Amino acid sequence: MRLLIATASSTARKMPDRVLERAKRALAPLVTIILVLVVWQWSVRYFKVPSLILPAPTDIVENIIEKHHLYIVFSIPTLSQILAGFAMAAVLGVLLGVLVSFSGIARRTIYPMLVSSQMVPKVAIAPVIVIWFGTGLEAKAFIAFLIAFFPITLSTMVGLAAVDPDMVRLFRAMRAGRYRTFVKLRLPTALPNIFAGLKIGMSLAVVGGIVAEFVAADRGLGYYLLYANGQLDGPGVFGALTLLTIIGMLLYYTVEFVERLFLPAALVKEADPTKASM
Amino acid sequence: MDGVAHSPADGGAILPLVSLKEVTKEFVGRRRDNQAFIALRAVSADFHSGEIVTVVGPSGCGKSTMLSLIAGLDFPSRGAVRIGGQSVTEPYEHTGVVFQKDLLLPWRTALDNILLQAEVRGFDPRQFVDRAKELLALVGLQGFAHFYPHELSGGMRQRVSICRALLHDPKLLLMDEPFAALDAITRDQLALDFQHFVKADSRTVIFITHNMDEAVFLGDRVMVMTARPGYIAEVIDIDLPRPRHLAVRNSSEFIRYTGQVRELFMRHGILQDH
Repeated sequence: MRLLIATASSTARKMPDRVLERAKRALAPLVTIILVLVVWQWSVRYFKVPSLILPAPTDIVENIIEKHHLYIVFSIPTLSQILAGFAMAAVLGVLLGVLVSFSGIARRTIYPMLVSSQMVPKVAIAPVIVIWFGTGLEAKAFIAFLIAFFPITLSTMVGLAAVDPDMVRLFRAMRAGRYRTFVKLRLPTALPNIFAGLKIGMSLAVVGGIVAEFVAADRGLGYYLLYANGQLDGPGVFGALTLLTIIGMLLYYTVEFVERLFLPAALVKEADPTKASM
Repeated sequence: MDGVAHSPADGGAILPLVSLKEVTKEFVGRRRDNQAFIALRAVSADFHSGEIVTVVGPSGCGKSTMLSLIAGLDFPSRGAVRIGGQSVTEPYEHTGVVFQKDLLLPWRTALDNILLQAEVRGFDPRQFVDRAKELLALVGLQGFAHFYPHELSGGMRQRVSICRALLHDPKLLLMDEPFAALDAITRDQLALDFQHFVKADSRTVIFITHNMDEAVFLGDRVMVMTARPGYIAEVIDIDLPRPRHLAVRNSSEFIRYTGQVRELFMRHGILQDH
């Protein structure tokens, strides 16, 4: 016991070391990014690349500062349809995952339909959805939802199936009913997987939101991206891209932040954004 | 017989808490040849209040199957399992179970893992906090209430899981090789401490093990099981005074008892001398 306490306090003393270690680890990608930007800037200037093909990083920043009002106004519809689509996908995705995991009928009826619906290229049916829902927020949110919900359903199912059968035996021996077993065992066990699904779903909702704007929109960052492209406005295209990237990252890390609030530190899986990026 | 309580209410007769009558358990179609696998064949046994019965046998002799039937997690193919005179159709209410794995929920502290027993049974866990802390102190883990399982050693985790099984003061405690996953020294320490926090006049303890020394050291009675078909070869009364100390393992009686168990295994071809 004494030994255990000693190790606990020694890890506490090591905390500043760990912060330093983290800073060191964060430094490497930061240096890489700065290096890439410098090379980018220098080569664009040196080879005199036309700004339509590839604008210099400084041109993009300049463009964003100059048109910041437009970018802010256009971020709002894009952001709201992504969030609305993601919210629907999160709620319905988790509920469907739970339903399919626990109901044999749902597993035989809804689930095969879900799987086959995933074979339909969702980007291709976007125009149909616009016909159904019009060109407002609903249609775009729905497209974002369609793209985002399936990974959430799937990871919820995987998480619920990951329960240790011995743990289920223990709960049965303690005379736990289905409801208590679900709330106290299955759901907490599935949470890390559910959050992994939510992170993938969030990055897919961003894709869905932009695709929807490509199809039918008169505002939004995706719309502006197409518009600037038509105007041969290179810095405009890359300005919109930069903002979309920032929005995507912010949303992704918001989900991760909520995950850390919900899950005890011991259970948070090391986040791997490369797996979730499109 | 040391340790067996003869309740005066029974009018002198010993009414067993748990009784198995001609219990057979077959598993059908699990093997490739589709032959039924017989895990237990016509096993009869009684378990009384206040006694610790250890069941010793090699892997696959059906001892864990027997425990599952008593726990109400599985049901016999033929014969009857009765607890308190009632046929077992679901897990008996006053049961605590300890498995080989500690099965602690990693997102709960030691205290909350113990309180799970109350929560799952629909009791208010706040009323069990004092009892849970007493149990933690009893098993030597005072001060560890708020530690998470990953901060505890294997032996400590198994102690917590024993506390969880004892929270509701069960009349029946079932233990399925609880120390088998621990290292030899931790295992001896737990076996030594075990008798203090588990033994109670009103409790029946059924302890499954494949370790002959452990079976003799812990049990008031040792049931020796043999494999294929699973049945009880013999029941040996262990007349060693309690509390038992480590030194008892060197006593001639102890060696005689373990010799008796070994002899049974040799006679049934489970142990072979060359």
